[in-house]
Amino acid sequence: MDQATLIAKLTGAVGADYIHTDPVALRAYNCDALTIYKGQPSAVVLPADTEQVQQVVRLCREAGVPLIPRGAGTCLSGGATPAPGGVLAVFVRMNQILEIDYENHLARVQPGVVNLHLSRETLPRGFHYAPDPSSQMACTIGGNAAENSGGAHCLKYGMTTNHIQGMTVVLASGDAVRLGSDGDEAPGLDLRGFFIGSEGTFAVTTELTVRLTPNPEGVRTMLACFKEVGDACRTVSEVIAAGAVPAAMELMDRYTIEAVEKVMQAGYPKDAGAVLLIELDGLPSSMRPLEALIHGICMRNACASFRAAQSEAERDSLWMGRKRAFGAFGAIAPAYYCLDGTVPRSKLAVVLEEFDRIAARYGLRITNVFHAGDGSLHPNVLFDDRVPGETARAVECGAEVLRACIRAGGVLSGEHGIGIEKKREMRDQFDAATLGIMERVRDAVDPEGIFNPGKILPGGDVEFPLAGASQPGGVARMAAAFSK
Amino acid sequence: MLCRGEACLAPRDGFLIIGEYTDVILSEESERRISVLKNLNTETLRFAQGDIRMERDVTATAETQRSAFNPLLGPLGPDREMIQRCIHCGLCTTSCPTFVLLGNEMDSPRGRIYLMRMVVDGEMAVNDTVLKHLDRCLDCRACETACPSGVRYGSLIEAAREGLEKVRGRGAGARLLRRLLFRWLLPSRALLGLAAAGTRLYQRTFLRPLLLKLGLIPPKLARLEPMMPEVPPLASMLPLPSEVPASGEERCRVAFFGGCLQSALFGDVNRAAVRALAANGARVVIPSSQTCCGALQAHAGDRETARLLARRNMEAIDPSQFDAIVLAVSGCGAMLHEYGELLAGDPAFAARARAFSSKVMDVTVFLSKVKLRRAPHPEPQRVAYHHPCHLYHAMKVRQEPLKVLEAVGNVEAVPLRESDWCCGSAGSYNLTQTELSMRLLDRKMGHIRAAGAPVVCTGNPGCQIQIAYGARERGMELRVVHPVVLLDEAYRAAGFYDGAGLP
Amino acid sequence: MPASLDAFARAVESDTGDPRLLSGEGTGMYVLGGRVPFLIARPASHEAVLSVLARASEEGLGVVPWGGGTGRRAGYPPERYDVALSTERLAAAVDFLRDDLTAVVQPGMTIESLNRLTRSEGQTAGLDPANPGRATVGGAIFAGRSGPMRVRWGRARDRVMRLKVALPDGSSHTYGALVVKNVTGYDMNRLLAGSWGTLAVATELALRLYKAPERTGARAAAFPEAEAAFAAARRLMALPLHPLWVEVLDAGRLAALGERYSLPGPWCLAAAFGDFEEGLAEQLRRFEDLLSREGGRDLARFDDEAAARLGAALADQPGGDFAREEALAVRASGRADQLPRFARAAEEAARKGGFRLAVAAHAGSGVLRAWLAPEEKGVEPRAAWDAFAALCRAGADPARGRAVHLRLDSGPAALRDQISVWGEDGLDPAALGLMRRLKREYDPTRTLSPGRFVGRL
Repeated sequence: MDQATLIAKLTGAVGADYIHTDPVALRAYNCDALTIYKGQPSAVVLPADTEQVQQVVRLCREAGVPLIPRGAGTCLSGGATPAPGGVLAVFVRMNQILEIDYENHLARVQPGVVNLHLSRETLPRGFHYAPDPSSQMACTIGGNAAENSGGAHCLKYGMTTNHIQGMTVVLASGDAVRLGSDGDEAPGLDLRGFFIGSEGTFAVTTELTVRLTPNPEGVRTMLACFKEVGDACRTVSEVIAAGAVPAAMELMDRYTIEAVEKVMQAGYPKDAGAVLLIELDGLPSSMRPLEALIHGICMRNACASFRAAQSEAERDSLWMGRKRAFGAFGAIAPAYYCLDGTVPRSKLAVVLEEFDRIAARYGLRITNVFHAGDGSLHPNVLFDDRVPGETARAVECGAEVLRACIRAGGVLSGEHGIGIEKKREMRDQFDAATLGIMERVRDAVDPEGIFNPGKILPGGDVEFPLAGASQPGGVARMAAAFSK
Repeated sequence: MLCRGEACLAPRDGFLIIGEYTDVILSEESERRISVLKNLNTETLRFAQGDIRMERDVTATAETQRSAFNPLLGPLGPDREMIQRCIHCGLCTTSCPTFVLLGNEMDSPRGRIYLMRMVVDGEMAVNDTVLKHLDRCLDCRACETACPSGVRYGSLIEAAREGLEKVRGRGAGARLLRRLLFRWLLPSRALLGLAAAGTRLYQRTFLRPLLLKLGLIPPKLARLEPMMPEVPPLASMLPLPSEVPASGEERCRVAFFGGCLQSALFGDVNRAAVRALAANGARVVIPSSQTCCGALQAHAGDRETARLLARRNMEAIDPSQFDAIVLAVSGCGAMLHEYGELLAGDPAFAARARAFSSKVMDVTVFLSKVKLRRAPHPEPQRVAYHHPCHLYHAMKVRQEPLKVLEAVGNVEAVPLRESDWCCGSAGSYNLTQTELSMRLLDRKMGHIRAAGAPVVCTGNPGCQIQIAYGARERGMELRVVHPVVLLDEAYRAAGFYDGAGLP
Repeated sequence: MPASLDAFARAVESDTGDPRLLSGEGTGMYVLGGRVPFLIARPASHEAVLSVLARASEEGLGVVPWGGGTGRRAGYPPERYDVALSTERLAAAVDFLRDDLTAVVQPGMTIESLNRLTRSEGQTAGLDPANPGRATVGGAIFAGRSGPMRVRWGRARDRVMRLKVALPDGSSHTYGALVVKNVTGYDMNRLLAGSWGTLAVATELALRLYKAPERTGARAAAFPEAEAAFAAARRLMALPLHPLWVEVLDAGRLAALGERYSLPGPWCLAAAFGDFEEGLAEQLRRFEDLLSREGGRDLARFDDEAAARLGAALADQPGGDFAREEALAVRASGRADQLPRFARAAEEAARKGGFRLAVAAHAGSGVLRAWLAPEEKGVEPRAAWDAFAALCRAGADPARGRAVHLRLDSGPAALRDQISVWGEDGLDPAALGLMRRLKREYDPTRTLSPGRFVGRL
């Protein structure tokens, strides 16, 4: 099938109003929130239902053209960046909440439903959808399933995979298959769990059944300030070791505090070396002893001040600082490179010290703002992309940081996914045999390599051109592999 | 080869047209292609990036070379640093009404910034597609509320629109009409009054049915005609007095800004605002040489006129003489608020513009800052509040209007879904993008109907006109009113104005 | 024993260094569906597992990984069954990272040993398969055996942080890492957990642990009807409490539990909570309120040790007649509001087939289990299964995304050969096709448990 025929048939499948082939329009879709790699699609389709998706899949397979699913395009690792010449299927029209089953605490949704919109709908009835990635106001549940997204409250509630009961996926054959179950057990291999987090390389999801969680009765948000970031890290490790798992436990270091307080008044003390934002939720009577326990651990670790938010407004302000921290880095550096390694929680202090040594070696600054309770780090290399050679140095520094995570027994990615960004580093993480089986199972699920090629695994023949000098974001997220 | 002409990117297919004024040097390859195209007898030529440079200043940097033909480059174009601040995270998308309606990345703030960036950087030419998607922007600035990186999107889109005017293939008639409207009609109280009087004549006499029946109204106008608000009696257009003393102890002195269309169509709102201010201890000065704020012009890409009007307004109102510059029209408020930025490049006015902007205050903000006098409304009111975009997203005025309503007793506030969503009025958007505007209005009216309140409060004349039109079309009994008017009605009933000699 | 098998046995003996290699006569207790392996391999290292698998694959032999043998009466009889690969000598704790709430253990460690290990630091793995004294960690994870506590700690597969596995082609893989949040590459741990030893053999498992609750307590009340008990359980799940388990039991299950626990019937809703003292008191009080609101009677209270004992008893299977060879254990899962239907289906099946019945449902997780013991000898179990399946499935509505899944957890070999043991007749053929393709990548020679799992994989 040639290009023109494919376009004509795709148009027939989704309708002329829901296909873009104008080159200018297509350029708007050439990357997601990771902007240094670009891939220009040959068409963008906006399917309306499972049947249309099946037709699109069949057409792409017949034509031998890659098909890339995209939700809101908020992925930070290039998961929704199309292989050049591929067809991008955007799920913006499949945004219906099909059913909310309050009796069984389940919701059946289309993949394009925005994460926060589901909770907004169910909150008044006493339920919410627990996974809360920072982009939850925009990102979609389909995209969350593809990436197995995390979030601040995953510490207590688990990742996306713990909240998806079942899903309908369209395989490369065009068959729509139901995976998982409404109850607890589906026959055979756990394909549901295996497909979640496969970054769109196995199939296209067209419907999901997700669990709803009862809203907690109370929330306590506390801010613990420390002179030294090491003390904050040790506090986290001890809290976890004590088994006192809060709903969320976020760490921000000196530079992050500086940046946040520069752009807004979150109420973090400017002279602190680090702050921990700790949130408990549940029954007040369950939280009280936990708070006492955590307070004690903080104090043992030279906590300079400890306070709990006294009002909803104060709580919002404390969280706003955390949620806007990345945006605020613009205030202290022209550019930053955000990484996503995860380490065992007992290793936080040593790993952060190692980051300092790496930063010093490269003559750069590394800031840290992360989901400490999970050991899910977000080291950010600050640099000035206008200084010749500094970008390359930042990228190399980032690769070194990831290697340090792996050395500490950690992994490349805790929640952003591998995508294009970190696929080369997969060789640092896994041996050849393990990568080999991942490749074989991928090929077994998608024999012709139709779905989102060029992601997750190194090798392969899909190339994503590096963007020129003008990628959005002086706040650039550089791929660590940039210079390799 | 040497061409004479201004090279600019034309709104057709990314082609480049050689115009009339400037000298341009082309690379050899381009020369060859031009000769081919010339043989084909076509006027439009396609170039690759870098094929063209200016002859006049061959030593200039690449940027200035490109700015010679890039409509978005130059000191007044979108701020490249601000564009750079967008990290392409996409958090804004779901807050954008046009993205939610259309579902296209190009119709989202992120997509639009991306388009602008590619044009600014010379990676892409301006063509119909670019124009279409940038034109569809409401400039409601809901994305600014959502943005974690503090991108000031409004300033980007307005600067881009100014640049795009240069390459827009508007006919001479359309250009003349814009100039007439923006430069002459809106800033002139007399002409505007005349136009309003004419319109009222049309609305209140046999003219309307006659002209419509005879089909003498051009089809496009006829389609828009029902949107036209009912023009109030001429008495309400009368200018406010130049000064109104505080009733009781004078606690402060404020300048009142009327706004052009507001004064013509909603003079009663201004009067109510002035009375309420005076009743709360403010001496209200209404400088008579004030003029149109320039907001409509800026949104439509004519920032030059906006700057001109800004200077006139600053000459009319000396910020150092007042505690605040107060107004009861949020669209103008946002513009006045941004004079500092608009005139940042004007050495004669920059400092004064900053001082001016810092004193601009919506009437509800002013009232919520003073010890606001409370009074019950004579009739029980069930009120839904619609946030005007420029008040909510641009000026971040969110709670104050509700506080003013709280001060009015006997008012029950009814929650309105998506109350911070644009109603589709958006300056002249309902005229230029009628279809999308009507879809937004439909959504808004659906929520209003569901809320079930007989009164909608909102602080902007554009929203008032749009929502009132929506209600008329749907046969809904709905009073659309500025919150300060309810306060004013309560004050009057409570006797606060008795014997005060207020306007 | 043919010469080539003899040679194989000798090679395995030298690979594993096993001092008492079992072959021939001694293999009787490893019987599966009437088939007896000729050799029990008991490797004590990852390398030994690798070489046993590689040799078997080369020789075309069938290998069934063997933990505590608690899944003997599940699944189809293997097509080929030459070697039982016992993890009995791979039973050590490799590492206990107390501060990271992580245990790294070998697959043959029993659940009881794991519990002893974690309890020493006040932690728990939250795994509660039946028969913890025999059931192994490897078995619990690879057979996906989650007990009542799944409602608190998640399914067995949610425990796995890192797996080290050996494949029949001689390769070794390590999936995951000792971190709690990980999206680095495909989630292979989830593919393997619950794969019933058909893809690879684990030689080391890293498990996520939790702090064991400071105090525990359970409450139970009687309901006259199943519907009322299940409805109360659903109300409980809508409260912001964190039960450790929520079980609904019928009179048969209560009788099988015996006098010792004195739970009220005929239908009983029981739930346990764990928390600090103050929180526990409130959770229990709120549950008691709910029970009385919903019409529960004869409230029974169990505190700390008693609650733990009750939990363990409920995690176990009923004994006596229900554990005999001719008995059936069936399971249905779906949305929680389907549980009353499943209960009725079990009653109908028992009545029709002439069985005594015991029912227990993980009411917070939408899973119902029923045990059927023949009233007299020679009862034909097929009719009972068919009735159960038909009545349960009547609650499915695929168009509205409502599925019902069935499974025969254990039963006579003859029945297992006749029906879809794993409920795969309710599975999309394309999904089954995918599972077959995945099996082919892992085990192209079909060495591991051939034909035993879903779709006779």
